[in-house]
Formats: sequence, C-alpha cells, structure tokens
Amino acid sequence: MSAELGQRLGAALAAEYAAIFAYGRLGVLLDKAGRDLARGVQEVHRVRRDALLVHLAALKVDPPEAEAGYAMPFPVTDKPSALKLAAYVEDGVAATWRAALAVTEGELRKQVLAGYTDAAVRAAHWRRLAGVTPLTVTFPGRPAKR
Amino acid sequence: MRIRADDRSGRGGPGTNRRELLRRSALAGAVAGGVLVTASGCDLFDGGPDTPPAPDQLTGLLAGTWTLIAAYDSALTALPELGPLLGPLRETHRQHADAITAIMDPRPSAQAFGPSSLAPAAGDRKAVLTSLRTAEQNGSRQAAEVCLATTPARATLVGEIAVARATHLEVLVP
Repeated sequence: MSAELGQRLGAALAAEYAAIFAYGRLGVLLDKAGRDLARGVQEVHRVRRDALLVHLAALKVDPPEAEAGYAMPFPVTDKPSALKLAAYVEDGVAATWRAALAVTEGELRKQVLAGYTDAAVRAAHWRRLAGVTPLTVTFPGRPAKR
Repeated sequence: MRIRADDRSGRGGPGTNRRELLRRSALAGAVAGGVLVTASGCDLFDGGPDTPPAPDQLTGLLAGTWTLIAAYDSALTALPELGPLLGPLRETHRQHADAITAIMDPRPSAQAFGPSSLAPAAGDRKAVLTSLRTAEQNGSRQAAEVCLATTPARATLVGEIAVARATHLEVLVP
C-alpha cells in the first residue's frame, strides 16, 4: 500500500501545484471580493502542498515538481472564465484527494478527507458565483463512467 | 421513516427490518458482555448456523440517509415551489442510499428503510432551508466519522457521501 499511497499523494501534490498556479492567473480577473477570496484560497492550497511534501518525505517518496507553467484548459480572459477555471481546478484537486482515501487510514485519512471536502465545497462555491448549474454532483470527484 | 414492524421474513437476509437489526445489535452487545448465559452456564448463542449476523456497520449511515430524504420530503410537501432547488439534492441522497445498501452485508430490505410520510415542514422558505442546512451539516459530520472508522474498501464511497452533503450547503442558501 505504501507505493500506492506515495503515488496518490503525489498526484494530490501535483493538483495542488496546478491550483496554486491557476489562482495566480485567475485572481486578477475577478472583482475585489473575488480577488481576496482567490488569494485566501491560494494560501490554503500552499498549506496543503507543504503538508503533502512532509508526508511524501516521511514515505521516502520523491515528490513531483511544480511545472514552470500550466496550459489552461480553455481561454481564461474575463471574470466568467476565471470563475469557471477556479471551479475546474478545485474539481481536479477534489478528485486527487478522493483517490487517496482508499489507501489511507487514521489521521492521514482525516487529512485527506479534509482536503477532499474543502476542494469540493470550493468548487460548488465558485460555480454558485459563476451562476453555473448544477452546483453539486452526487459523487464529488468520481471519474465519469466511460 | 417507515418501519414495518410486521416484517418477520428472513434472518439477516433481504427481509430484515430496522427494528430487528437494532434488536440484534442490542443482543450482540449483551452477548459480548457475557450477560446472556443459561442456568447451566452455557452460552445461549453458541455461534451455530442459526446465529443471526450482526448488523452491518453502515446501518446507522443508511438510517441517517433516509432521515435526510425524509427531511427533503417534508420540505417539498410544505413548499413544492422549491422542487427545482431541492429535488436534485433529494435525488442525490436517494442514490447514496442505494449505493450504501448495495455494499451492506447483510443487505437491508427495501421494507426496512424507505420513503417516509412525515408531516410537512413548518415555516417559510428561510426556516425550511435553515433546517435542511442543519440536517446536512449533521449528516456530513456523521458520514465523515464513519469514513474515518470504516475499511479502506468502503472509505471512498462513505467519503463521497460526506463530501456531497457538505457541498449541499452551497445550494441551501436561505
């Protein structure tokens, strides 16, 4: 389980890196309240990043490195697309935390669940601000059936 | 919540109702404490083939899910105009109930848990939404506790349920 744990926590770390980058890009396109929220959320992602680095070090797993830049999944040029990007990256973060639940237990599972919950709730919040529906899904972060 | 007290079919199988599961849980606790012994000192239940299985550890979570569904039914009865807002959330809980039921062993019967016929929720829109928010918060907390205590194989589904309930608060804005 340890190798699997390292791989899944590494995936969560990669998603956190991407989120930190995305908030830097999207925040400037929001109004003041949105910018303040984005700045605060970006800091939350930095805290999660740091916690994951500590866990991976304890597992003696080489952590993935942050990319110098990330391709946007769609053009991000204005407030609506910035809100859409925020929801998109939070959905991605939620999915990686969710995937780590099955390989964790005890205190670590508690932290994974907290990361998963926070990301999914934020995704719903950004969708609400964007006026996108539905805000929620039945099984947050679960991959779509092929 | 509907509980059919007259359901006596099966022993831990598909016909087991909630009251029966709770009775067995109490008996299981008594046996664990060494309370139930015969006059000759022999265990009343010897673990033989007739011993009913203990209720699944997700029984409480399933009951809580049906309680949430009942709360939505009450709200929708009182304020049917909230259907577009609340209907999808109720359906989510319904799908959660199905998913929990599918992995439980013994499998609870459809008669043990099901739609309720509670009185319509009291109050205006704000009061109803506030009440549902409280129910969702409690439900999310319950599911999170179960997620932390359950097996790795079940942690993902139960975690999904805890998280889904937390996200519902973004919809239930008074």
